[in-house]
Amino acid sequence: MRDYILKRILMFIPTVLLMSVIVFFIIQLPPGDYITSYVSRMSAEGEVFTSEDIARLREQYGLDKPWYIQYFKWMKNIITEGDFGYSFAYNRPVWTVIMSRLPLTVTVTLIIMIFTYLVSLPIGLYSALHQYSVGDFIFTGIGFLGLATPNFLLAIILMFASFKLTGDPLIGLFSEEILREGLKLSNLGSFLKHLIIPIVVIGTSNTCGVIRTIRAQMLDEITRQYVLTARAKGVSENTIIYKYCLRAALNPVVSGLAGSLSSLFSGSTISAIVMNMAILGPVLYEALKTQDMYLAGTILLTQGILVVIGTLLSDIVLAWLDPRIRYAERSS
Amino acid sequence: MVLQNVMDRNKRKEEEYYLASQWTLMRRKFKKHKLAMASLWVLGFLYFVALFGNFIAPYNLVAYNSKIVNAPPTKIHMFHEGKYIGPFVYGIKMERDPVSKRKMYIENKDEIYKIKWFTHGSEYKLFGLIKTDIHLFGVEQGGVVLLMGADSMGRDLFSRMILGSQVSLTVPFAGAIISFVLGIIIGGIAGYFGGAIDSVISRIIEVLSALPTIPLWMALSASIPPDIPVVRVYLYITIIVSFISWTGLARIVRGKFISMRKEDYIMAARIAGVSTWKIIIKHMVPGFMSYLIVSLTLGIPGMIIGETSMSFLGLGIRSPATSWGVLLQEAQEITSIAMHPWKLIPLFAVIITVLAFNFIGDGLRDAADPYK
Amino acid sequence: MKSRVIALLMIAVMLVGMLTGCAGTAGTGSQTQPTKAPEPTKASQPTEAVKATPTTIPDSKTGSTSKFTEAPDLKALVDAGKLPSVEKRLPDPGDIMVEYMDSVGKYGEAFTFTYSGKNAQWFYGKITEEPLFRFKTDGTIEPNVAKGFDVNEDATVYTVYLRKGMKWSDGMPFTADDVLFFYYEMCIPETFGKSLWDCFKVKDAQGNESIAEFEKVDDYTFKVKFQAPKPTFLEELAINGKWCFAPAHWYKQILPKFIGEEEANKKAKEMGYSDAVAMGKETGYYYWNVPGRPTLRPWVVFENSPNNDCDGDYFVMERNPYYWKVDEKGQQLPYIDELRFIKVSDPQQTLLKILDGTVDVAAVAYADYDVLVENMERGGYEFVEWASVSWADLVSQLHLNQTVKDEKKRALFQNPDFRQALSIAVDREEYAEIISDGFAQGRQAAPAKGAMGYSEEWANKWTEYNPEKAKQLLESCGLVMGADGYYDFADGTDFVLNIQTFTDANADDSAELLMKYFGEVGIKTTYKPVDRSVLDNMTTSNDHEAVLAPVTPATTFSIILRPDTVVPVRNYAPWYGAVGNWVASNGKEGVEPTGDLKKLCELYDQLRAAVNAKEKEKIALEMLKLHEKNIWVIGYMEALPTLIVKDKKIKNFPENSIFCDEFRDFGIAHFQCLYYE
Repeated sequence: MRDYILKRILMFIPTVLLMSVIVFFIIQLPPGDYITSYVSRMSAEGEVFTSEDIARLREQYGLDKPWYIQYFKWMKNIITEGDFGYSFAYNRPVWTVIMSRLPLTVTVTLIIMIFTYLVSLPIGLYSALHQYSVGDFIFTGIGFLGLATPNFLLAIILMFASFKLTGDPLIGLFSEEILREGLKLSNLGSFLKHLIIPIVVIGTSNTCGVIRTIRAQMLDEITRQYVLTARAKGVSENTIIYKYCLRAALNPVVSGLAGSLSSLFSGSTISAIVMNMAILGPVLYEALKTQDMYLAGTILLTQGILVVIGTLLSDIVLAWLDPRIRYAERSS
Repeated sequence: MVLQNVMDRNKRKEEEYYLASQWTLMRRKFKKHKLAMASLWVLGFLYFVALFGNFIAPYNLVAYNSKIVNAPPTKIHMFHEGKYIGPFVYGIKMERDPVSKRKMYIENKDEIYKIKWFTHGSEYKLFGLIKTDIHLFGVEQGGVVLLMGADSMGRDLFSRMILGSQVSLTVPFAGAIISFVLGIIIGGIAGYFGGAIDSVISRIIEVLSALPTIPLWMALSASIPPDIPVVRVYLYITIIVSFISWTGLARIVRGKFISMRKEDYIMAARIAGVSTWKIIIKHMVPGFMSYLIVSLTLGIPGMIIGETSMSFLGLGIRSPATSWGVLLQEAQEITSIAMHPWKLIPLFAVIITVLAFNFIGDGLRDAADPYK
Repeated sequence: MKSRVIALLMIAVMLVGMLTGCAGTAGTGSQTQPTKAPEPTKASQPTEAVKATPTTIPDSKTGSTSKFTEAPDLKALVDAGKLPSVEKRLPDPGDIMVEYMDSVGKYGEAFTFTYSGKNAQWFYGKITEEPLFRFKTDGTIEPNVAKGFDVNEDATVYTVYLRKGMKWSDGMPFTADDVLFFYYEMCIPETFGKSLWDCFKVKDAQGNESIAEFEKVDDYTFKVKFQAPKPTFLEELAINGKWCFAPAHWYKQILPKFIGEEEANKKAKEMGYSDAVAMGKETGYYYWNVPGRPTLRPWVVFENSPNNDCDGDYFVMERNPYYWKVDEKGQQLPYIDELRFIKVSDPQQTLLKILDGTVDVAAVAYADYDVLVENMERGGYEFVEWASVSWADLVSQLHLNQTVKDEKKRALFQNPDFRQALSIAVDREEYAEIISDGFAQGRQAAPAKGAMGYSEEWANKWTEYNPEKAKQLLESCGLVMGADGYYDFADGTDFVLNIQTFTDANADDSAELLMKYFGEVGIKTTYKPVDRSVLDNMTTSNDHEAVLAPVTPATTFSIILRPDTVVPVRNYAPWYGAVGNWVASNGKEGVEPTGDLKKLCELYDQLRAAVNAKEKEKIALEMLKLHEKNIWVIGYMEALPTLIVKDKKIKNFPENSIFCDEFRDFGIAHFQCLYYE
């Protein structure tokens, strides 16, 4: 196991490097570059640009070189100085921009993620153990309602409903009071109230997947022969379900954790835009649109690193959950 | 005698059961799943409607009508002043509130338009082949029938929903299948062989799952020339996206395979000289059929919703071409929700479709193990 | 809609007024009432411009002229000894600017808006802007930061007087040095990354261009000298220059020229900018964003306040304690304590925040009219309509690139018959009903009623729906009906009209209808929205064909002062394509115009060289005639007035006005004068 983890950590660097190259390449694929959007904004303000001016601007921003040269320069600064570059649009160091939103992003996404699993694991179990019961149908129905309604539509319906019922549309994560004075113990309640809609919107779309997965997995496991054997041997039902079946049933959920970890960083972009959540998703979206390359690149790179770490973690958890995998790793 | 008969019958039944092929048994088991059967009928109906969409929809996608902008659904009446005259609609009259300037639509009881079956309307090609102008129903010249109200350009939402299903019930399905197949195969290979192959595939999965889709969509939609119809653009993008979105499933399949490949029956099969492909497809994949079916039934709504997200970002299908995603995106405004709630009806079409796929999946899951 | 006509009539009146005013005597600030005789030095000037002369505070009730009051929060600071008294903060009593308004207000409360972060800088920039000279609703200018001015007979030397004792928001004196610093240290070296504005340039009769010279007379007087007459200098300054001063004392602590390259870069890093160049740009142009940068505005961003990040989720501009305007009663303005901006990421959020009464002033879409009416009681707002000056609704006007690269298409687009065919192929009545939900009327792209050059004929030219005639016209252009039911070029190749626009233009519905109408007369049409920057880039490189939006002809009330959408002067409006580049580069790049377009360019050259305002107007009208004759831009629907919702309790908000850039959009409402009932 230790060798395996070591090997994986060694693989980490080439994977991330490859990822960064591809990401950097894709970012600059759409037509135009930051100067294009800059010039277009400025000419709307009445500026006159000659082709010389534009060329000079490109040079100033270092965009006159081919993308791989820009990439190498960027990478070099990251590796040698830990400098991720400047965001063109914010005129701030990329890292400052990211850090200003990171704590909130992680907090909110973690809350939503914990909520998702807290709700969906028991429901999935319940649905599997009481297949085709009324409860199963109700949960399935609600789950799919959440899944089938586009997040942005659900968000706007809920915000409007909240406005109609309470007079407050609960837009964003913070009330104006918190925005003014910062988050304190006294206004924590208002923050939690503002979390309801994001949790419902993002939560429901995720819970359905987890519920259905757990349910299907459990249904598979319960009918396995080892369960029959265990029952025959008189192992208690609880032990069978929770110690053996659930453990095996969690396999796909854990495999999917890698993705969840990266979505911590920039997930649910569209929902975040519609609900005005001040998290990193919308920043990334804007950066991609205006081709603010270093900002977008850094966010995506960090996200990629999280994917790799998440994959590693989920592989370790998988091995822990399922001894067969452990043996497989060992023998290979 | 009677007893003998019963016994014979039972025996025959038993024999039938043991002799029947796996597929027959699966079909039988599936048929017993009432909800799955009902869902199959619903889905069948939806696809039937989509197939005959041009015939069923009373109007086409470019039937703009400035007189019914944002008009609510028309009531269908049977009696006029207490007299039965069959299904008909009244004329629609638009008025503006003199003070608030708000628009109001009222029924003009002087005008009566009967609903007719198999009427002549706009011309279309059934199945893209047969040129005709017969529509399932319509009203007499001069009137409009709006089963689901009108949109902001004065088009019949019902017709748009019917015609939109032609896109929404097909393209996402194709996309989901592509990534499903790729996911199983590539994930299967990684999990089955392990070692270096697994390492390489796992790294590829990691790299691909870090790919930003938004700039990819933007680049794709920018590079496709404008004279290609948007539906085809959407198809292309869906296919391309499904070529990178198989990674999630692949990882899960891989995880499953790793835990299964050391099972006795797989070993046995291997020793018996069964080919690798056969082992993967015949012995390993059925081992977690439930999960695969769930993944597929979740993948289809995922793709339908994905299309709405693309429309939201301005990269998906554009009116006049219509899909459910386009309709939902148009409904995504406070004004629509507050003032024209009928624009949310397509949402129910999406929900019904998604639920139907899911219940069929349930039925398939149960049927996949017919010996239970 | 009545208000619009009235407002536009005002434009007509003011245009004449302004143009005659340009001849040498300029308008005075009607809101600064002259009560003292002008100083002898000024009176002795050859052409006496009526100046906004020094003012005392007339108070009919008490007769007091020197009693000033201030907002309670500032009073508290003064009492605590943290701030000088109000008399010391205001300019000399005679030089204080008095804002006269409908009703005298009272202090307190805040305005809340939504904003989209940094990109919204012009929104809060415009409502807090204090230029040297500002526009009035009648289109004339009045002194603002400047106290008054003189101009010599041939309009080559302008003498501008500043207000004695006026202070920056950090309490430092504001003097003529700050004006000269701006011109010589910021503008000419392009410290803030902008080339020198046109308002500082002049062309003489020989066509030689030269730039203005600034000269300090004393601390509160400076002269601007031109090599050739520049009769519209002050108007252009009000539009183009906007402000014309920068805090020299502040910049001398950060600019490379004064503290050295290395030190400046260090300062820049401290302030969060990548280098001194970026710092110069950010603090120089969008200076009102920068915490701690002294300004003259009613509300400012303080360095130590918690919500001073213009990219933050919550951005607050606070009262400038050194603001230099008072009301009739001697109350220091502004009335409102602060401006608050809540960041939103989607327009629907703004709508919800209007409905729930959070947002106090905002422009809204007609499509949301019903839901706004429905919730009026709850939100406590009311509607105000301000007139528009655009020739047509933004997404209802089609620019046919006159220099499109495809030779066959170019010939077609340059053919008036083709443009007429595209114009009459559309049923404007139906179009307008659908696109505006019945609020607007179909119309040709033409000056608004009451504006210069307006004629009913023009507004109705080529507007009658006639698909049959459209087909005939297309055939007369040499197009041939193909087997697929669409017209082909004479040589048999397909003709496809490619309509382009930008993604956020909301032009989809409009394009959809146009495609339908054009298809019906046999023109195969495609439509593809692209990102705004990509579209602008296409325009710059002349890769565009037929473009919906992005600018309407005449986004301004005067084509004399701001011609770039009506006349090719730079790469900007899609219809003149590469001709703009040709003019801007003096014939080095781009495409040379022909025919009437060439005539238009020549007329514009004459216009720029014209000394006499009457002559300028005559030439401008001739230019408009060319537009009327050619309809280079096809309009399908009139521009709707700007629909504004405002909190019912806000007082002094103008009922009638014009929403345009020169008037700084909302800025013409003079937010420092608004207050809550």
